[in-house]
Amino acid sequence: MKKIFLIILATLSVYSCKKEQVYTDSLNNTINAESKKNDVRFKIQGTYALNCIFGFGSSSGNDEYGGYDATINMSPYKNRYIITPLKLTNSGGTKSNGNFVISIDPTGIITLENILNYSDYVAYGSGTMDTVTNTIQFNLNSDFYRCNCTGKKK
Amino acid sequence: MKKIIFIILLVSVVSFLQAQNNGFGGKYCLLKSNAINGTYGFFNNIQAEFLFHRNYTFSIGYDFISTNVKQSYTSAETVKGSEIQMSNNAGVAYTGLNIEFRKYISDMPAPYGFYFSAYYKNGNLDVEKGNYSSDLFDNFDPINTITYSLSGIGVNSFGAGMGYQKAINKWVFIGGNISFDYTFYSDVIEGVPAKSFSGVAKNFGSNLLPLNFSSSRKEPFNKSYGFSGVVQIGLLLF
Repeated sequence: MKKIFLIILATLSVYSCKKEQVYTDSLNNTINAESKKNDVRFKIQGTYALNCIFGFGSSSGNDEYGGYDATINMSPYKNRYIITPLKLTNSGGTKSNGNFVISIDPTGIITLENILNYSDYVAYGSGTMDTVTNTIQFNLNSDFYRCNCTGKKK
Repeated sequence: MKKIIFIILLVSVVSFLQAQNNGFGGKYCLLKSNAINGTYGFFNNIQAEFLFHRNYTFSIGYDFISTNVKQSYTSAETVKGSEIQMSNNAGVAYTGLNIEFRKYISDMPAPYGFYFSAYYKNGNLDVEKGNYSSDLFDNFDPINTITYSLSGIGVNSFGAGMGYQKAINKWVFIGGNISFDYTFYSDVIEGVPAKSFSGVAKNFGSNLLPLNFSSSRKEPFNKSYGFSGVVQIGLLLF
């Protein structure tokens, strides 16, 4: 009887020494503790303070308006990330309140995929994310405006 | 480190088995289970209680709990600044070892009578089916309910309490225990996994009344407090 107890305890002890964390969700995200070390996509959530240089008013977008500060929230949505809200205002008072959908590859390369909630303009762009310095940089372009934003996580 | 702890425990158990202290009925080993494990269900653990002094016992056991846990997020955790309580509970599974020390205060030899106790548990928790609202992390519409699973969370739990245990007949014991628990979790993958698990973290660990003392905490929760209670049935073995 005593030996049986010890065998059971030893078995349970070994069984209890597991196991790696794995997260999956209905947005098709899968991550484990090991892959996380090399994947920036799950490190970017948070609030960033941006400083953007904008160009408006023509397809060339040469009129620049600098020093615009914005706050963005980076959060996942259907395996992508939303930059929201980013408010743009040109000299004529035209406003754009955009929710921008971006994708980020495991190394931190950003691709702007679309613009939501703003007229019919289709935006495109690219950028980078650095999780060591917690900075983000991206360019946004359309036939109406362009911007270059840099920001740091708050 | 875990292996060292378990080896020490095994050696300790061997020592108790060799002890000559006789408890109630001349026996010194009670095999028991949580017949009612608070709100966590029935008969989801097994535990052996060994006498090593007339009034002192040491127990070692194994928990295998499958239950549902409330999911809640404080206003400080949400982007919109409002509390969120999910309508569906998370399905979780916990397995792990437990040890317990008891001091009996009774004219009868242990394990009979009123006692004070302290315990430690170590195990793994899997969130098999959790869910959270997409507006937990952003203001983006439309609001969706996102389901997730998260396995392999290390759980450590301490507690202290009191209870009463008595013999129904020569072999069968019944008892009850109530305790205050402190539970903390291993580092969860940062970002969305940690934030989503926070809803479960603050509500798991105490099977009667989980408490939340940190409503202003913005970071994902990695610990919980609360009260637990169990009703145990045991069989006096040898």
